[in-house]
Amino acid sequence: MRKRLLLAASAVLVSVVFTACGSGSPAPGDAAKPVIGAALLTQTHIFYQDMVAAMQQEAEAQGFQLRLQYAEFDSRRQHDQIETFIAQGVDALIVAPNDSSGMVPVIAEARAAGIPVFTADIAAHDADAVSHIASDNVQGGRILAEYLAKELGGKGKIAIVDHPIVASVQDRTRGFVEVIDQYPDLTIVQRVPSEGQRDKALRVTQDLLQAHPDLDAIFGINDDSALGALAAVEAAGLQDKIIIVGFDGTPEARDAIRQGKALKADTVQFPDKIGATTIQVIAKQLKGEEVPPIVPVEVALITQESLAAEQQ
Amino acid sequence: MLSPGAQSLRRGLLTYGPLLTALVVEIIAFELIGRRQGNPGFASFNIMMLVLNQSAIYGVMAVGMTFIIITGGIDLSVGSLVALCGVLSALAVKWGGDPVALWIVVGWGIALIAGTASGAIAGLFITRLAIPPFIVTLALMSSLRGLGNLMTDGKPVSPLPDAYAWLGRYQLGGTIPVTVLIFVVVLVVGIVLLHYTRFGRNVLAIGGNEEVARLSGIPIARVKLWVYMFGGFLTGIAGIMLASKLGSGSPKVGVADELAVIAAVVIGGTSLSGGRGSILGTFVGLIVVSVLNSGLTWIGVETFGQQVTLGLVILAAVLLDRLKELA
Repeated sequence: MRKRLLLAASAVLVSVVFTACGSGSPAPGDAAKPVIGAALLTQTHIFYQDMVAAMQQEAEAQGFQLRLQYAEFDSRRQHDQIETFIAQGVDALIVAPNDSSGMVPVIAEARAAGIPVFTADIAAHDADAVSHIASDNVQGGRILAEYLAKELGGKGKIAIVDHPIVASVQDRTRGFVEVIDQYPDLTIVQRVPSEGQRDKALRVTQDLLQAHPDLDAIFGINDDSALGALAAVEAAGLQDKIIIVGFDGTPEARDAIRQGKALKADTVQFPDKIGATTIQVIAKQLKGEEVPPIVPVEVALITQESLAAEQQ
Repeated sequence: MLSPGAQSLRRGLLTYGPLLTALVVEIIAFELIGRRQGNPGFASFNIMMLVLNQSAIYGVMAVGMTFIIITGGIDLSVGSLVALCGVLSALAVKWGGDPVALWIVVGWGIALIAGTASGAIAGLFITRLAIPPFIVTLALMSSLRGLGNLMTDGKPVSPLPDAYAWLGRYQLGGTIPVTVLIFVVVLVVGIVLLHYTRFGRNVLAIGGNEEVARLSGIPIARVKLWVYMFGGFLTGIAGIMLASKLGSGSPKVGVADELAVIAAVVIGGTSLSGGRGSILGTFVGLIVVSVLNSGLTWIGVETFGQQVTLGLVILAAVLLDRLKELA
C-alpha cells in the first residue's frame, strides 16, 4: 500500500512539472524586447482565438514579447493576473475585461505605475485606458435591427438572448433597440440572459418559447447565444416561424446561415483586425505618437446571399 | 498528556514539513524559470506580499471552512454568499448616497448580518432538521447566487465612490494592504478559537466522534450552529473585501470559490471526514496554492494549465497525507 501510494504521489508530482512546463510558457525571451501583458476574457471562444493569433503575429512583426493570460469568466482571477503583470513591470497592458466595471481600480493601479493600458474588444467603464480598440458594436446592432425590420415587414415580436454585464454587448443591444424603436409595430418582448454561452442560451430560449409562443425573431448577442437559440428553436419545430440573428460570424454560424437554417443573418466582426490593430496602436504609443481614445474596427452584415456571392 | 487543543496543534505542525518544503521549492523554481525568461524578482518581498494579498479573501473564508470541515460538515454556499455579501455592501452605498463613509459602514454591517444569517439558516437546517450539510449548502449555493442576480438584474453594482475601494485597495505605509491585516487578525482569532478554547475542543470532539461527544455532554447542535454562523460571518467579511477590491459589487464573482477554499483546507491537512485539522495548516495550504497560481502567471503558463496543475497538487497533497497516516 505504502509503495503504491509513493508511486502515485511521485507520478502526480512529475505530471505537475510537465504541465507547468508544457502548457505554453514562453521561450526564454529576448530580454531587450518590450513586453506586452495581455489579460483577456477567455481562451474558449473562437473569436478570442482568432484575435490572439493575429496579436501574436503582429507582436512578432513589431518585435514585442507578448504574454497571455485568460480570465475564463472570473473577475478576481483577471484582477490578480493584471496585478502580477504590474509587478513584472510590463511595458504595456492589453485588457479585455471580464466585467466592465470590476477592472477599473486595477487599471488605475497600472496607470499609476506608469504602464499604458489598452482595452481590446471590451471596454472598461470610465477607466483610464489610453485607447480602446473594438468593433463598432453599436453599428453592428443597428444593421441587424434594420435587417429584421425589413424581413418582418416592420411588424413583430422580438426577444434578445442577452449578456448585459459586458459593455460591448450593451452597445450591440443599444444600437439594436435604437432602430427597433423607430418601428411602432416592432416590440421587444423579453431579454433573457445567456452569459454568452451556448448551453445556457439553449435553456433560456426553451423557456422563452414557452412564454412567447408567438415570437417572430430572436437576436443572439453573440454566435454562441444565437446557435443555442437555434438549437432550441429547431427542437421546438419552429424553424420556419422564427428568424434568428447573431453576432460574430463564426464558421459554425456561417454554415448555419449558408444552409438556410433559422439563423438568417450575422454581424461579422473581424477579430483578427482587432488583434492586429491593438498591437499597432501600442507600437505607435510606445514610439511616443498620439493615439485616439477609441479606435473602431469595421463590421459587416452577412446573409445567405452575401455568403453565396463570397464563394463565387 | 497534552490537551486536545494542543495535540491538534502539534499534529498540524507535522503537516507543515512537506508543505513548507513544497513552498520553498515552488518559489525557487519560479524565480529560476523567471530569470531564464529575463524576468527575475519573483522571490521578493513585494511579490510575496502580492501573493498574501491575493490569498486574503480565500483565506478569510478558509478559516471558517476549516471549522466546518472539522465538525464533519461542508459549506458549498460560500462562493455564492461571497458575491451576495459584496453586492449588499455595494447596494447600501449606492442607495444611501451621502455621507459616503456612513453608508460604507452600514453596507459592511448589512453584509456581515446577511453572511451570519445565511450561516444560521444552514446551521438550523443541519442541526434541527438533520439534513446533510452537503444538501443544505448546495441548495443555498443556488438560491443565494440567484438572489444576488435578482437584486442587481445580473449586473455589477457600479459606479461607486472611490472611498468604497479603500478597504480592498489601501496599503498601510504603501506596503501592507488592509486586506492582509484583516486576514492576519482572522487567522489569529481562528487559531485561538480552535486550539485554545472550550469551543474549539468541542468542535474537534464532535468531528472526531459525534456519539462520544454527545455522551460527554457537548451541546452538539449549538456548537454546530455557531460554527456555520461563524463561517457565514467570515464569508461576509470576504464579500466586503472582494467587492471593495474590484470597486463594484458583482453578483457573478466567487463562482467555484467553495472548491478553491475546500482545496486549501484539504491541502492543509484537515481531514474531510472531520475531527482533525488546524488553521495554520489551512494557511500554509492556501499559500502553496496561491504561490503556484501567481508563479504560473509569472512564468506565462495560461489559465488552463493552471487549472490542471491545481488539481494535481490537491491529489498529491492527499496522497502525501495518506502516506503520513501509514508511517
